[in-house]
Amino acid sequence: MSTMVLHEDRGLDEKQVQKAALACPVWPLKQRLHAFQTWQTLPVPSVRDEAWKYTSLARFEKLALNPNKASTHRGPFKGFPFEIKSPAFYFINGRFAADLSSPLSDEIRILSQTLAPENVDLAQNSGYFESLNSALFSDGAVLELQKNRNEEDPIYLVFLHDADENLAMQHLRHHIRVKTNVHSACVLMDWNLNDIADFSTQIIDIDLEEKAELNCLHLRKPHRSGYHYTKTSAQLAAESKLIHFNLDFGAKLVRNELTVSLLGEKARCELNGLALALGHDHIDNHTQIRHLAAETHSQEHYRGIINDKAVNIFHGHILVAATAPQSNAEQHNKNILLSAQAEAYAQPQLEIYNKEVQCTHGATIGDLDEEALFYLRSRGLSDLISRQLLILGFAHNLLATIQNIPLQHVLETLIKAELALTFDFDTE
Amino acid sequence: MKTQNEALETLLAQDYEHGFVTEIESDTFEAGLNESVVRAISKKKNEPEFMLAWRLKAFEYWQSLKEPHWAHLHYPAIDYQALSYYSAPKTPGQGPKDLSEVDPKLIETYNKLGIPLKEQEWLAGVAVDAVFDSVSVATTFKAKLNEMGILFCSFSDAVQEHPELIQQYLGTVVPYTDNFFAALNAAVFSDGSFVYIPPGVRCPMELSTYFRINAKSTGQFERTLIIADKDAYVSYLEGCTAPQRDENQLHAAVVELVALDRAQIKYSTVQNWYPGDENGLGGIYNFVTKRGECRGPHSKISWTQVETGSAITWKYPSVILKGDHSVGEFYSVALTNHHQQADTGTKMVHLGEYSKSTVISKGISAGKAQNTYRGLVKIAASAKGARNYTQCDSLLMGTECGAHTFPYLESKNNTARVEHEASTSKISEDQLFYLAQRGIGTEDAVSMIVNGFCKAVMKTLPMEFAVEARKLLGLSLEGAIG
Repeated sequence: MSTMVLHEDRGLDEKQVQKAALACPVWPLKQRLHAFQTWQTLPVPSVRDEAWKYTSLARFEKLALNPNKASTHRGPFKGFPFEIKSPAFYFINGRFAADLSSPLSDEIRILSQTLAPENVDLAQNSGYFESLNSALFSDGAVLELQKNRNEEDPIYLVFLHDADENLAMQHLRHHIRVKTNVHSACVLMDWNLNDIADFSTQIIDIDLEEKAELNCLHLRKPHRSGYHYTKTSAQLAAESKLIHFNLDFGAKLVRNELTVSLLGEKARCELNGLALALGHDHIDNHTQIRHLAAETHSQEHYRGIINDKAVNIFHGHILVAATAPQSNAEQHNKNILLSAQAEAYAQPQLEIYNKEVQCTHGATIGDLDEEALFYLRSRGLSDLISRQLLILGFAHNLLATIQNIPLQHVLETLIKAELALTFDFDTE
Repeated sequence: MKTQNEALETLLAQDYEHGFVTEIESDTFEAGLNESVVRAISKKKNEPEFMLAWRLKAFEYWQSLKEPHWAHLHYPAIDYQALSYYSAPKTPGQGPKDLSEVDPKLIETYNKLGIPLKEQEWLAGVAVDAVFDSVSVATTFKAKLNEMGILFCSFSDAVQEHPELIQQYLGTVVPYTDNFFAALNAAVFSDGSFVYIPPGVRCPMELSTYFRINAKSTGQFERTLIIADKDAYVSYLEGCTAPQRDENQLHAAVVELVALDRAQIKYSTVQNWYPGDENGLGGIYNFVTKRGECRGPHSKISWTQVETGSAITWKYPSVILKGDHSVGEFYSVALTNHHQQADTGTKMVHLGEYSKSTVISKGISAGKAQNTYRGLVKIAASAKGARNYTQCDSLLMGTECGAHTFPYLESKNNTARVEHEASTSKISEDQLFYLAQRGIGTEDAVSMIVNGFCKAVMKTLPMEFAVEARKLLGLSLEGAIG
């Protein structure tokens, strides 16, 4: 198990930075070392920081972090329920697995084999986890999407965690660009393969050119004792559209930071999120939608199902700048607490500097609706089945937005298994 | 649209009606704050030892604090050493025994503000504890209330006459360690109101205090303590207007409410301090800590506020719902114009079982003003079956203004239910068109819409106050339009 170590001595040193630079020379060593120094000198975010108010890193701060070893695991992957027919690209322990993956093309390249993507600005990723990622990222995908691709046939990026040591690290960064007028789709999956806690960070940059559309689903199913940080930043040009879905199974820490900047006129985004927090899970979703141009629209629906002693946090910030007249923003956050010790925190925020706007937000925290329960009971269903139906319905409302029906079904099965929604009428 | 803009401009250009200075002799301390000032205030008020000790502890604690800057407010740094911490109008002898003994200049001031004491005495049936700067100068209906055992007096009198009650309750809801401004207030507060309603008594009239900041460069540090004993009921009104100034003035008040078993306290505020001119010059800095504690089962505390004044408002009237089945309410209209900034909201802390809270907040932002709602709803693990409903709506009326909503929802009990909804919009063309179609001019239409927007809050104000509140909203917005 983990032992207490000092901040400077968590099993991390410059050698690992050098190794990462060799594995993925897209960034010069100098930049990576700079990021590493930043990480070393940065104070760990504490609950006194507004952005980390409900998420303590006190425990994480003391854990030793271990380098990841290459994995020879080539399947079958335990519990991996997806039958992937469309192009898929696999990364195991942060390394690209060419033998498992579809052939690379103009549309998809691998970071370790490409020149530096343009506009990489270190200063933009100067936070605690970001600078660690900058120092140590081993690989990632570079998508330049030029062909139309519908949601039923997305590009899959699969990140498998086959750690053989506690908190073996995996740092990845991806660049996704969708060209003008192109409509495309991708599915990102984080999947833990064995019983050892993992630690991963991911930085994802999404650029939508004019009139481009991207449908992006990000599923995380990490180890229950793992720590996971994801930062996703999307820039949307005029008339482009991003549909994003965050599906989170819990871990000791899941922290997602998603920022969408609606830079061009009539850009729009739909952000959906479903968090299943059980046991001692801690899921923390921070989203920010920045309306910076006229006639931009955003819709956001985040839901949390929280059981046992788990904690779910939603922080949704909507900014409407003075430069964004005729903008609309709609935000919903709903949480159901299924046990006496479950906790939910919601911070739906509106910051508005333009009067020509329509913005609404709503947030709720509570148990299942008693009237709905009563209705189902009055139809002869048992209490257990009624509750299970309502919980599934709560999740299904969001899952229904996924147009890829086979995928939607697999996800629903996964959720049922996770929440033990057996619908076993015999045990009644 | 153009007519609406013109109408808005007229109202935005409107001067502050209550801006005048009454020239009377003030007994004012020199600027600066140190331990001897705290001692001098206490001595001046002839306070017992426990009060001085408490003030000194608060002062010591305050010195260890830094001014908070988390609010969505921007203002130049306050020099706490440049302010004077005590100002009292000089009165002959030992203070007035009835209205005829009150300085006629004061009476005149109140008359200008539309609070004729004498008239109110027998017309409205309101007992007025008028605070001119820092010392209470007149208390009416005292005898009548005394018969019922109700204590309604200035804080200084309460310290002299009922030290045991002060000692028992002072700082138990807002301790001096609560925050920077509460600590400052505890150290240097000059006066305020004190109310005690004995068990089972329903206070027969609305108790009211009019605050008025007057002497130049004087910080105003009021402290109000209201205790409703078991089964008691009281409705308290607080209203403020202030004369026009070019220098910013600091106001850091503290209000503590204690509701025991089945007691009810209704606290209503109309705040119309000088907001600064149209260029954002001058105006009051209003940093207030207001909190009520529902200590007993089935107790209820209700805050209603209409905030139209002050350059800076930093105010979060809160309720700690300790008692089972206790109820907390917060109704607010906050109107900001020109360069005004308001960061206001509430905290509802649910500790007791089946405690309920309702929050209705209406923010109106015009000119270049910034209006922020900041609220916390906290459900502790012990608050079985607790219920909260929050609604906050913002109306934007200026091209350069801002409206912001920063709610915090925290729930640790699955039997509790927390609901929050918020919306931000402007007065829609459709609404104006509909009313124009019915022959209602733009000015009247805007006025009607703003009235309707605030109705949910205005209707919770006591009758005596509703008129003035509507008048104040009118002064700030609709009056110029409609």
